[in-house]
Amino acid sequence: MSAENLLAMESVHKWYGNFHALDNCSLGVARGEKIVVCGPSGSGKSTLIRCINRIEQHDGGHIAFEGVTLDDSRKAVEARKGIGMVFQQFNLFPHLTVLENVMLAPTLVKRQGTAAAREKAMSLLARVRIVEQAEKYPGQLSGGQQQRVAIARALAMQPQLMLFDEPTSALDPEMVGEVLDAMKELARDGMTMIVVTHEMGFARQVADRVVFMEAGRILEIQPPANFFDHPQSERCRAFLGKILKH
Amino acid sequence: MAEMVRPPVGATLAERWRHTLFGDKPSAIVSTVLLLGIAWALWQALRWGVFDAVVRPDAEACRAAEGACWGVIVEKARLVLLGRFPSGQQWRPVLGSILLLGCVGAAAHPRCFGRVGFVLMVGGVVAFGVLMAGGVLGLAPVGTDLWGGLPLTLLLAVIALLIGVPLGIALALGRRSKLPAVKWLSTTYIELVRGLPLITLLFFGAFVLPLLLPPQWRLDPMLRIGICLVMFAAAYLAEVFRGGLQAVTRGQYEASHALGLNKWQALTRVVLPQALRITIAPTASLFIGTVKDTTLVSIVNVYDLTGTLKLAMGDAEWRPYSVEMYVMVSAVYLTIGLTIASYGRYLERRYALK
Repeated sequence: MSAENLLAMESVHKWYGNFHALDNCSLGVARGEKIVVCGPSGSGKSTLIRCINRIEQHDGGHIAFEGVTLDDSRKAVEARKGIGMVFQQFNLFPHLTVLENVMLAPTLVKRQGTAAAREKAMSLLARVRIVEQAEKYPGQLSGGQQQRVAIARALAMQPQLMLFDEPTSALDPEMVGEVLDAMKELARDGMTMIVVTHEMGFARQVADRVVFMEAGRILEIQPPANFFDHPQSERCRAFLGKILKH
Repeated sequence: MAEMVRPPVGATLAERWRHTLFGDKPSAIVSTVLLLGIAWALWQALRWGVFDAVVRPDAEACRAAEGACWGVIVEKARLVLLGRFPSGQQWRPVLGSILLLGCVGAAAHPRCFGRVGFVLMVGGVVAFGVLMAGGVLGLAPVGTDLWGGLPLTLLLAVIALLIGVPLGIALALGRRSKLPAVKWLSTTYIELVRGLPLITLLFFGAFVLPLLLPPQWRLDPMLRIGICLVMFAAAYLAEVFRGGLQAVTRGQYEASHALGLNKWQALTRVVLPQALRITIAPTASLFIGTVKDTTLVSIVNVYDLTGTLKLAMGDAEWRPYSVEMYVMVSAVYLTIGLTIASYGRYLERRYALK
């Protein structure tokens, strides 16, 4: 792992009571790199990325972002603002319009003026092709539209790293494409991304490396071509066999 | 299946009524009996309240009449509505109430929500207090023991809610706190106050507290009563708000965290706005309940609208017509209650989460 890594996780452990959710996980992510995390459910994929932006706090090991150790310090709180996250359930704020959702954090956290924040928000909404819905409320949008708003909302904080926690798992099948397209565009623009997903097509197409997890451990980290064609572990072969069959 | 190019035509109002009321034999019988009963009750009410009623404030005529004696209201309205406030000074409670109602009404407009509304409400209460108490601006001082009637009812209700709402929110948050001391204190307070009858609390505030406190700490009785009402309203509001807070999903906290909002920003901009929207209906109910709870202060010798009603009935000549006076006072409470209820519905329509 090189010192220039944007994100460095070293021997990270996480426990839920007696359940070892993350077991000695180490991962370095270089600036601009796209990582796809996959594995059976309950393997710790979501916990891994939730520890990166401290929605969950790890119990052992070390996580550093842009060289800053992520803990309870003020410096870490500042550094964490450079990490954006998109959730499986979108988690848009239902009492705010689409535009207000995107503007909220920049005006509150970055203290941007309303006019500047609005302009920026509109350009982000245009980027995810949803600008015409700006005045609507989240509940009036389809799942795919909501998830694209969620991406715009995260981008409004100008993150260096974007985390995606199964962004298409709660969507109707016909809406998966529009969200993946928005993510691919983001990848093309050079965003550093860690994506937890079961969309193996996306992994093959976009990922620089694929991380395979099982039972809280990282079993493999491989470029997608190797990962799909020459999986090293028996577990990984079994997993791929199951999800690529249909 | 045959083609259907138009939506089905709905039944007219008359058809639907006939169908629901007289659709089959049993419901036709029940409907007929109920409708006759309603008609009879209406007729009795009309006869008592209109046809056989006496409107002049003339006790002689009232005794001769079969129906209601609305004259008693003309005769006693001033006493019931304004209490024992010195007679030359009664413009003060009238103006004070108008100012207070005006400020509350303005603060209730969504455009004034937040800081402006809060300042308006506090300003209204202060202006009311100055007008009522006097002692400044060349106004003669009037002791709180002479305050009474509708202005007092309005003041007590506004104070209870103005302070009760923020206190209730704080208690609700306290009860959900991770700090054991805060959680324990909030829970104990809520359960203790909720478990006591308001009457007990008022007795404690009015009669017991002054004995316990050193004499130089003696608070004005009106203040003590106000504090009791605030405490009571806050405990109930806290539980309603706690329900609202529980309904906000974890994802909302996580999204706020992920966007870099601090705890206070997440609470005030994301969590509370949703929790309060969810609880509009029960909160409106509690507001109405609080307004009506203020009637209990008459038991500890504070002359709110129902207290002055009893004062008015002290007059032997008009005592037989208490029902008419109760009708008047009930009408006042009903007006307040319906206003709050329809305001609550308006807020629900406007702020429902889409």
